[in-house]
Amino acid sequence: MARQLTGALMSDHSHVVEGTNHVIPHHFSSAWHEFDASKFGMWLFLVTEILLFGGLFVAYTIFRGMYPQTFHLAHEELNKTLGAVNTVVLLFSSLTMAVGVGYAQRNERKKSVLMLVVTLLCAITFLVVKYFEYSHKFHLGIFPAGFYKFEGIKDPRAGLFFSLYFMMTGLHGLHVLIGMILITWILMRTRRGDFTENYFTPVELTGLYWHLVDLIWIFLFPLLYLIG
Amino acid sequence: MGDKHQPQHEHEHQHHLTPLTVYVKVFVGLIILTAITVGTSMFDFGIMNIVIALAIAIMKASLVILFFMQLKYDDLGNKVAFAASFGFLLIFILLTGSDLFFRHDPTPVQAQEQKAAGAGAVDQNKLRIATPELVNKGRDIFKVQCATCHGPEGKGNGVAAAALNPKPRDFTSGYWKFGGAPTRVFHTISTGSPGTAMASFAGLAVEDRYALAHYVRSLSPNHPDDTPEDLKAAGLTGEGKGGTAEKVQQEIPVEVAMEKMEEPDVVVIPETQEKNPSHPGAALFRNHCVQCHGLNGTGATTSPVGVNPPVMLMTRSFMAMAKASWATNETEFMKIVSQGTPGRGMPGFSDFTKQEWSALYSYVKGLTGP
Repeated sequence: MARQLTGALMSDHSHVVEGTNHVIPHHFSSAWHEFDASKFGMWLFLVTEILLFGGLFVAYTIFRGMYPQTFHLAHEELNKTLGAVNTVVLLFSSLTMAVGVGYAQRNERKKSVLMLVVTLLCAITFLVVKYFEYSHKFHLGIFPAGFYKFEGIKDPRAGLFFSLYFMMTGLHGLHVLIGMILITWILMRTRRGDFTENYFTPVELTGLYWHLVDLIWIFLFPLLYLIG
Repeated sequence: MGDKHQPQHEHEHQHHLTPLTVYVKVFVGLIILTAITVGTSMFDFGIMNIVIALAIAIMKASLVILFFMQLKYDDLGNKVAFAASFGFLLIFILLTGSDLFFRHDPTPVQAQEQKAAGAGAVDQNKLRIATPELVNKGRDIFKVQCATCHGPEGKGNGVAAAALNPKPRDFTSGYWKFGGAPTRVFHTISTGSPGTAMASFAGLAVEDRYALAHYVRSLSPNHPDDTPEDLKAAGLTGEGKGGTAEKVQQEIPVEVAMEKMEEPDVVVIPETQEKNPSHPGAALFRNHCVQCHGLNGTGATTSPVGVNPPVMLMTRSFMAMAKASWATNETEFMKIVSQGTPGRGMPGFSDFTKQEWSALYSYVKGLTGP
């Protein structure tokens, strides 16, 4: 019985997407159904990510509301130029990612690969800038939580701001790193010819993830770097 | 099995292909918005800074979500899922904010700043001159802070006075232990009277203390003015000139306070005066009982009991109590000591061994006689 079943699946090529070796799991009624469900699943995951960062944003709101002067004073230590550079870098990477997905949709493999490479380079740039920001802070003695020992800010609660700063940008940076791993994976699969215009779901979903990373930074930047 | 699950080419469902130029335009829009948000942050628009920043951030986010993430062309299901997440986040923020930003008590930082501002702005040279307003203010504060001991008319016959030794001052007597001039009475209120139940009321605002001083002086037939020596002692320059600002009450850092609290209360007893120092119960009495019951159980230690307002109670001397139930019956003694006296300030001590109980009982019994 099992043999028969396996044999039936292997020979039933209508479950495989044309031009790829992606087999549509048979609990989906069509390729579109699979794409739809996968995308919805990804959006649900993004919802959890929004709530994750949302919690940190609420903590930020509470402490900024309670100690506005502390936040104003402490944020002067952040480098606005680097923050702005990182914002532009991430926005550009979102563009290249979207275009990369667009090329995958149009079965333009080489162009898709190029866009994904550029996205990856932008991500690396972002993390390098963050490296310089963090190391400068550590050099001054600005550390998260109880390790804070910088004397230069005339406010006893400055460490509070930096705890939030490190937690939020740190978690975001971790997401950038994860995104880079995913993009690398997609890059390799695209080069291998796994995707066509009929099947490019992983590229699409990775794109969604990457846009979320950009989205979070869109809020982090003004709230941390541009406290008026 | 086969036919129903044949994947079909569903021509109704097509992936939406956004023209790539649209992506580029969206990118340009995002850069422009970024420039605007950076630009506006360099100017002070007060509360509007954060409003503008968030508005721009939301616009940028919308561009990314609708076009880059293609939610504009997507199924309703995905749109609902996403909107729901922001909906819940909004509830989270609004409900938290509804508590936080509508609290009426100042947050600790604000309270400290208010205090500092108040202390700095005080002019003692003005306050030391009695005015009807100050006297009235002092009368009101007196009712709350002072009447328990000093009595409602300041005659030293307050509710708690019965237990106090020395008795609270009768302001109508005209006698002032530390002087009746305004700065002197202010000083007494601020520092208390060592060796008595009169505590330091430095926690009250400077103006409040002067108000009290003027009120209690108004009760007295003897209310002298500040002499030049008094003024010098108070660090004041004289009428009309700005006075020295009172130092802001130093707060003990929490760490220091906790350290102090952990230290066991050390009671220094001159060994020569202690009765029966070699008695096995002597060490127990010294470690547990002396703080309240005094050297050799002579008592006369006051401690506040209860709150709102606290009442000062004093320990009696054991000397007169040779016939008390606890001095004649060991079980009774153990009962009282282990349970304490609820409402009267004595805590319970129950960690003694059988030998320790016997020793302590025998020692205390010894204190009730010569």
